[in-house]
Amino acid sequence: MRMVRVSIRRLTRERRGSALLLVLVAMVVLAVLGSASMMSALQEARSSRAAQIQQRALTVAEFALNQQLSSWRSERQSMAVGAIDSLAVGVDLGDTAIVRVQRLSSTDFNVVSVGRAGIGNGLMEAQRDVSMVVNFRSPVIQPGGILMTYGDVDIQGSPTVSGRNTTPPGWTDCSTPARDTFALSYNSAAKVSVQKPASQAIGGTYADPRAADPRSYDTFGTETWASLIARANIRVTGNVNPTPSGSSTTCTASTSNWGEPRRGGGTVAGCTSYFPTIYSPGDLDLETGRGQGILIVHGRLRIRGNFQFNGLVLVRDEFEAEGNMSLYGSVMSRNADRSETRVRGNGTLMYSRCAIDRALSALGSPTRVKGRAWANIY
Amino acid sequence: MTPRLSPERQPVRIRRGYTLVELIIAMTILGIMGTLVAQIMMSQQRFFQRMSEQSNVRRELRNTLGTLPTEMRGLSATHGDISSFGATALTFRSTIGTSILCDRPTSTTIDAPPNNAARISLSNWVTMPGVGDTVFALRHDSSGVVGDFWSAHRITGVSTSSAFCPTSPYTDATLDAGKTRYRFTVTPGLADAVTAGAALRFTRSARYELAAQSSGRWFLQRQEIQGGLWTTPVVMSGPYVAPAIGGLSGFALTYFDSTGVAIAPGGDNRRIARIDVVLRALAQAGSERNSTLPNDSVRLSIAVRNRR
Repeated sequence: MRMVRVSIRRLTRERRGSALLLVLVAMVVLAVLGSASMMSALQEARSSRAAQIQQRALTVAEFALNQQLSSWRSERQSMAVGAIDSLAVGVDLGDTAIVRVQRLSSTDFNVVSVGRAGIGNGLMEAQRDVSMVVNFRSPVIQPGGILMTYGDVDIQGSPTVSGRNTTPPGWTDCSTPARDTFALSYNSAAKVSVQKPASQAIGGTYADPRAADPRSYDTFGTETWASLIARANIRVTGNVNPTPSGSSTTCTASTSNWGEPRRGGGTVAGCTSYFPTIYSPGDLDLETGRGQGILIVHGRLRIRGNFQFNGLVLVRDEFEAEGNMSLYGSVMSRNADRSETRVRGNGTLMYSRCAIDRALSALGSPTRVKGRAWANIY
Repeated sequence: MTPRLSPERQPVRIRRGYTLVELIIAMTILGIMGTLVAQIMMSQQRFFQRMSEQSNVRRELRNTLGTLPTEMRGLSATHGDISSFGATALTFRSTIGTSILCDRPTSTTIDAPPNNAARISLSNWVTMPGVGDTVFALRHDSSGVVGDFWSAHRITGVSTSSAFCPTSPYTDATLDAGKTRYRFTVTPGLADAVTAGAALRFTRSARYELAAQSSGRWFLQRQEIQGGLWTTPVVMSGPYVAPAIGGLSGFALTYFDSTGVAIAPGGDNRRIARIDVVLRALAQAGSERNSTLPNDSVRLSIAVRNRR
């Protein structure tokens, strides 16, 4: 009985097929191939994603670079050569760019943008660096003297009127040399009276054809009277006593804040780089206070007292100065109502190319230099 | 005592063998099954190999996508950077570096700041500019030129020292002290209008071309001029579809002006504002035995950044 059992068992064993083995081998082989394919596909997906993130980083870098052209910070015009202005630009999904702007010369800036993109977990990140050389161009206005007038002129009393190029007191960043000019640039058809030429017309007077051309008071290089008014950021009506407001690092914009023309102690340092364009649609009287920038008066301008202004003054009608006023820059008076430009008292009117350029630079805009402005950084 | 069975009662032992017919049938079935399994496995193997090949092809395409636009974006077509352009080849001035003029001890020497300056990237190069390369210096003077002007100067000598341009407003006196600076001797000399702070661009002539290799297959290759001579071409990626006149090429270039009008090869190279590149990679796809087809392609439009 036992032998029968053994034989049946043996028979059963011998009848076992190799299907299981074959299936197992095939499954192992297929599993190996399958997992290899999956690994390959995963690698492929990872590479594609890396390429996508690299492209995103470039896009972020270029976005931040181009943004600088449209949102140029006016403080950069006051930067010394070699100085760097840095800022971070956030884009989206954690993508960021660091932009560094270095001043290369009086007009050129090097903008470097480093764009970074990632997938958020820090495992996959890309960085792309691009740069651009930009040239800062401001409107060019060339007054013929500290006073350039179309109508008659009368200077009396003890004012100092000088065409010598002078740096405003305390200004230390006026390094660009500039030529002296005339104290008075006037229309040869107008009547000019200077009581004490030695002090009231330092640099002399000049019957200037440009002063005799009304267009000289309407068109200023790349700007016009209308375009300057359109770009004014302060509009004043009535009489004001402008005073800078802010702190050592900030400047609070308001119609009574015309920037800080003084330098050194006791000044609002945060407003020294603020050069607004101020527009008065009618007559304007100024007696106290101070400011800087471009002052456009569509009427008569009368300055008295201790008012202090640095920059460019454009007047539609007559210009009158009295008292101890101080002005560094230039005045262009159209005398459209055939009125007379009058200077009296003990005031100081000094030609300052630096003050004019600073005022105009607030209206400037950066443009990429031609040809080879853009470059990859490696 | 083991009980004995009579021979009549031992059917199992008699049935142990296989008949010839059984064996033939079993072997036939096994053969068919084995063949099927082998075919499936070979097909899988082929599929895997081709997937791997496709993956390689895509990697090649991605590599090209990374390098080609990087070089082409910086072209200044209006300033003659594209010297010759065709449907399957492009010869151009590649910008290999940027810097600024830190100092100019003489009219024929340019000192450049270190490439690892602490505060900002000032000197950057893909490869160190050498003799025979060209450096362009930005100037704004009006000596016969209106507006911005990049004057070209050939490099005749290169040297490095930490003593060059030791103090400059562009570098940090403390953090950049002792770092290696660069001095390039150039011809012709710099005009007086090129002053400290002038932007510099270093360029080298380069050429992309679809070329047949010894294997008979077509690859994208790059070569450049060093020391006045073209270097041995370096294979960038491939294999690609062979060039075909009027047909589909593995490396096809099309050129457009700023209004989108195509510029035919031989046309005005200074008007080129956009370059469209199509890459058709050659590889086998699927698991069929014979399938040699371009199985992946990519098209990209490269806007030339310095076209004005």
